[in-house]
Amino acid sequence: MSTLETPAPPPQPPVASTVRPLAKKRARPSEQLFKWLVVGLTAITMAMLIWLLTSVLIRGAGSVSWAFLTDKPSSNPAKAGFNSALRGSIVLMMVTIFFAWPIGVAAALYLEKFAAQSATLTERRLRERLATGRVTGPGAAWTRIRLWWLRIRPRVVHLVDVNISNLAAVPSIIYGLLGLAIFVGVMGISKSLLAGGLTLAVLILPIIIIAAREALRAVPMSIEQGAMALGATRWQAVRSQVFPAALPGILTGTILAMSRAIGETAPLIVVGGVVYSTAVPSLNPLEAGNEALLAMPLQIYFWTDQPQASFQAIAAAGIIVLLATLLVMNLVAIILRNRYSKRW
Amino acid sequence: MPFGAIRMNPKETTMTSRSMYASLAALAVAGGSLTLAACGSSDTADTTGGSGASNLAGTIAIDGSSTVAPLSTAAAEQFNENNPDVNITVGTSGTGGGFEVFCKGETDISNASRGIKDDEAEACTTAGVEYEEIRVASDGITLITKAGVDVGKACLTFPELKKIWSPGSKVNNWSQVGSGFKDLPLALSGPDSQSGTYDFFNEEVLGEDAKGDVIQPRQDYTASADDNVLVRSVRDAEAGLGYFGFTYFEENTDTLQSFALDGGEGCVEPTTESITSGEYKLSRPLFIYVSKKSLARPEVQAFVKDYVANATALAEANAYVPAPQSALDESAQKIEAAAS
Repeated sequence: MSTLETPAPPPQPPVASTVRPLAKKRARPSEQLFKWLVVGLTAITMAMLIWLLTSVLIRGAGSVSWAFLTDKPSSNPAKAGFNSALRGSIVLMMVTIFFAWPIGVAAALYLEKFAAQSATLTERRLRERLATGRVTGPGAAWTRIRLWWLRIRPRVVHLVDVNISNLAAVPSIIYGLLGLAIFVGVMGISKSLLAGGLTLAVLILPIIIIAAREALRAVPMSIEQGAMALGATRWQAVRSQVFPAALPGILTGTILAMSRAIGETAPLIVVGGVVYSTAVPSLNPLEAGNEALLAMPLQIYFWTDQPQASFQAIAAAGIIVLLATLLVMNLVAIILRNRYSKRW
Repeated sequence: MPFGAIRMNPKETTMTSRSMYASLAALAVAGGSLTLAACGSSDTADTTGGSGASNLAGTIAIDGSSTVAPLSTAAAEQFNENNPDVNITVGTSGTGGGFEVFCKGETDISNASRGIKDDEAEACTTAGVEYEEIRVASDGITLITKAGVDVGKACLTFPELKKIWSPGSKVNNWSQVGSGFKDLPLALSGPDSQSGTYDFFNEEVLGEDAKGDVIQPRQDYTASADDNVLVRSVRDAEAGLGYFGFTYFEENTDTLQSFALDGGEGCVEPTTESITSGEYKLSRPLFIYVSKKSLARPEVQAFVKDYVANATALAEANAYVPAPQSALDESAQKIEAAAS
């Protein structure tokens, strides 16, 4: 690692004969125990996952068919299909990502690359401007406001920071209540895919911000500093160097956040989710404000609650479709990462 | 986390703006493939059922009890066969949640597994929402234990149930319930407090306290909002006792057996007939509440008329216990009266 010369160690007492060579060293019993404990716990987790997946596959695989994917929901389990729910979830994801991504990434860029930077130079410049008396009246007031903002900015950023981390841990039903109050109540949006998508966007916003900040932080400072040393402004350096380099990480985080959103049930129930609608939702996201709030997890939840065993089978089939959708999304994330990630 | 397995590409790739757009394009492609998968029979639903269709159009919003939702869904499907242009949505926010939006005038019809409560009715009145209570089916709260288990008696009385479920009750063995019961551990399962079934059972079995509030049961039992969880819980107990809707028992008669119920006039087995007639004492009506304002709209009127006219057939086809014919006749009359 280091190229620095370390000072020669002081002469050691001759203990070498009692120490076995490193390669042959056996782990202590406690280490062995810990290793097996970890292996055992991993095995339990994997076994549970495999058991869960196989039981779902066994129960639901027979019900997954083209008709299942293209039919509307029905009270008759033999006729019930997943098309409305699948389309609903896709539109939900489009709406969610349209709102959450730009806001989340912009917030991350600001918090990570602009708000966290030292403002000493700007502060000095503003103070000098006031001291020379060149600015008067509203100009001076504005300069004072900017100075005041620079002084409290670290505290505000810290507050925002803490809150974002906390928001990521808030139970999702709370976001449902928030969505109902703000989007449906205050903004007057009907209980539709649009209201549901907006609610999910708020839900995943903290996750996107955190992931994007991590991705931005992973880009070495030298890239940015190099660009600035060549005369670029901070905005230019971030726009053309840091952001492109961080994009694969940001996208991976985004898809993880979407994976969370696509499985959410509770907030959608609160915002007015339905399990049957005569009209099949259109895939045009611009129509989202007029479409009934149908989604895959809602449909699955409703089916599992039914008494007839045949509904349990199509619920399992629905889970398979949901899992497949998730896998496709995760696959995209893996491909993006492997393809564009960069080692520094 | 699926990313644990990702190996970083050791080859250094230069990130150009082209590759950046490529990655965005990859995202778009992924979205597109999902879209394709969902396209299927795009919009066939809008074009079916053309011949002989009525010219009714509009939207009917239904919300409320998840117990009644499948029946209303079945009614909606049947109605849509002849009236494809009426868009009907069915939500499941629960009886209480349903009344909340119904009394704000946001829905046309509210499914309910119990009658409207005083405070809910008050909210409706305050908001100027007048409604009609329409009975569409019945449900019997069935007392269940594992199939093949003999706890000593096959019939339970209300005092025995009260003894078991009272707050602070320490009964954990059948022998403590009364004489004639065997020495078998008694594990309890039941719906959680979100459920309308829970409210109904407590009101009927535990009754009200001095202040007029319904007594809440003991809390040391297996509670779930999902009746299928309760089915499994009772099935897996050695000699448990659980209660839930009759349909859930009917679908699981191979693993569960029901207790008869003595309401003071002898033991009555829960059956479709005894629940419909009300002879089985823990039977309850299932309702839809229709806003009078919505009932003035032709599509809502036609739908509700259809619903009541077909209620018995719909109930039988969808594993519900039908409402007595007299109650259905009364419902039909109410609609006629409100419509004219």
